[in-house]
Amino acid sequence: MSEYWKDVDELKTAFDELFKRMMEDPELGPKAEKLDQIVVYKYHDPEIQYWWDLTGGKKEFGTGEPPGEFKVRMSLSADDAHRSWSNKLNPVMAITRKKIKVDGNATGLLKLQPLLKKVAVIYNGVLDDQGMSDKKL
Amino acid sequence: MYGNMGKILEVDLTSGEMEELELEEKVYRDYIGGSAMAARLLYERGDLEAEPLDPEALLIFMAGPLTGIGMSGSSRFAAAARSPLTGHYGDASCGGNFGPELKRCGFDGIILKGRSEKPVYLLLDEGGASLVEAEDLWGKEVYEATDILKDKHGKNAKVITVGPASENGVRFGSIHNDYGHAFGRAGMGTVMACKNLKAVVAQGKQKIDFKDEEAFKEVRKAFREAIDESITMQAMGALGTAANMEAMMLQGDVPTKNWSIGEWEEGGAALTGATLAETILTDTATCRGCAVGCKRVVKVDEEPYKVPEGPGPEYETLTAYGTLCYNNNLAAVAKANELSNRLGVDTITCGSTIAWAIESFEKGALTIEDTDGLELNWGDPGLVIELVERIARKEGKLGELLSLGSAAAAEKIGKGSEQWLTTTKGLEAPMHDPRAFHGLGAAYAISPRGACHVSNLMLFVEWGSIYFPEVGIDKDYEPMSAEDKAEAVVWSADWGVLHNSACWCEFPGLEMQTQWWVDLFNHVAGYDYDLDSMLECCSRGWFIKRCLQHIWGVTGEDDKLGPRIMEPLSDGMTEDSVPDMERMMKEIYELRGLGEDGKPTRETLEKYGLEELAEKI
Repeated sequence: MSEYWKDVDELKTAFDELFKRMMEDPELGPKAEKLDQIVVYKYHDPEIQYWWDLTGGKKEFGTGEPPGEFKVRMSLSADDAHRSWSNKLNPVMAITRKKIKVDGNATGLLKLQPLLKKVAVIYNGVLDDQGMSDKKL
Repeated sequence: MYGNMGKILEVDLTSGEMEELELEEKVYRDYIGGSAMAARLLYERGDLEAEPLDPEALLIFMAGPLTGIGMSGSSRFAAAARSPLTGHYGDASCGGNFGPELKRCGFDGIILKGRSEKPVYLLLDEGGASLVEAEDLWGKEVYEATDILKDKHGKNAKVITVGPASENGVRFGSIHNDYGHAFGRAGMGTVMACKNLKAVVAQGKQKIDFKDEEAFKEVRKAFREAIDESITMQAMGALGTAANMEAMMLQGDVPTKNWSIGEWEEGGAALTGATLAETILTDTATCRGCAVGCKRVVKVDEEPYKVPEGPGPEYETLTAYGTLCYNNNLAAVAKANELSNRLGVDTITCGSTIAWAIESFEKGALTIEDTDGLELNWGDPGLVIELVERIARKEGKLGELLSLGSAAAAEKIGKGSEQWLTTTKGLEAPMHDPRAFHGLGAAYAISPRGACHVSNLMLFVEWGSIYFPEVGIDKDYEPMSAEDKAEAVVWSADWGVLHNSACWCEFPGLEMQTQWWVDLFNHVAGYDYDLDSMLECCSRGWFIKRCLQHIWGVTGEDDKLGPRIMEPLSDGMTEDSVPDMERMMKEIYELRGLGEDGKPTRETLEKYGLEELAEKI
């Protein structure tokens, strides 16, 4: 049962736009590109799996099965994903408290943790633009 | 006796006499072992009037009940003395191989007093303990002295030794075990060298008896699984202690240019564990019994910073000789690290003192006459190496001045240079910035040896990597805030005593559950703890160290951060962020049972059976 999402489509509307803007952002895009790996986010309640393909200079994302072998997969609730992109969830703390399950090596991804402040600014803009301002944390 | 060996060797270096002490099991249980036990022995058996480098002053090495039990993190042992750098309580912790070997020789610890007329080393083997002439070793660098002793006593012999810096009276001399493992902080090496003791060599065959070995194995198995699953430990194994340096830099945790700027992305990227792994890493290494393997082995082939294959820099050193001096040359940092190992200096104090000197020169407090004609500039990799050498050898006016450490050097030159200090109670802050983690600031302020991040686990609490709801460590701690911090700092201080007394490495220690600690003490040493009684013993350890600070002149007014750390930064994630020390200290004093003067009240000391100390502080 989700606290923030009425269905998966609503989540997809918000996250698709967020990831698009993140990849296009002049600060975040190059940093994401540097990871040079496939990252998977497996969300539940509602259930959906996103992937980022950052290999070989690509900055692509999508849902479903990733286009290659992932280096890290983070499994968490869609509500915690919302909190995380809103910079209201410390990823290290969430991993310690088993709110995020990690498969693979998350070292590279954790490098992006300090950028969550900037991500949150973009995310709040997305929520405003999509008529979801009430979801802002 | 279980877990512990039941004997402590007391050596009078003046007379050459030795005695084996056998303490009651209750003393072990009440003080756990390691640094808390060493503090107790300093108080009980030492001449508290003695200056740090007087012959009467004690230097104590102490293993813990869990040292050498073959688990990740269990290789450590402690050293404690009145510090020649700070003038009050000092201790340090060392991993590697020596702690377990000391117990294999049948001893939990060594108490050293007096001063030998000539240089000697202490040999512990199957034949017992003996002092051996060491005039030929005096003046030798750490690596060479270690090689000579291993050639003589066999490559399996474990060695701790001081280098020329300690012999020269540099106030922050270190003691090195088997080359790269070090008792770095607070000048323990200087105390050892002052006793004309060059080294201790240990080689034994005794085994540790377990109270309940089968039950112990169950805990060991569960812990090993936790280590194998931990992404933090995986990162440490792959990339070393600087695994996350780039992210920490962006978070505002990595001190840069003597703590004056908030972010230097190029510096973090050039020195981070991943860069080290891609460039100069040749192998990884580990302390005895540890599955993590965070130690780096490095080699630099090119001049001018050529480094033969050997122990590489860890996070604290990468920062102290790197970003702190605005130096992003990794090879040069590796060279300065190697030199520090060979000469035997604490890289944190040394790097901090160099950074302070560069700023003092930049702002005119140090002149070209003071520096023997040397220009001190930011971002000069060769300068850092040159200064390590001059300091360790106390060469010239500058080497002599900086060998005192930054606080005493600032006192000597004045001209406002004390405003650029990072010291708490005379000890330079380690390489984590309390402006990014406010509770860490309070942890530095109340640490028994001065600014220290391993006597208190607050950094990890605020990072989010510790979660113990059973003891109240379960809040969503906002790093740059004083909210909820006092209680966490007090608990973390006790947990720091636990690590340093057990004696356990803090990194794998992150994967331990509270009940596993209780079980380990009980199954290994038969301590009969529950969680509350274990924590009571940790608190007792903290209070005896606190009392030693007071006996040696520290007051509540010293519970503060260095002035540079209290200056807000104008860039980066921590812009304008300064810890609310007044609020946190007030709350901590109340929770800890300290009076307004910072001293433990009689009532508090009575709670821990330390009422006799009320009269002494």
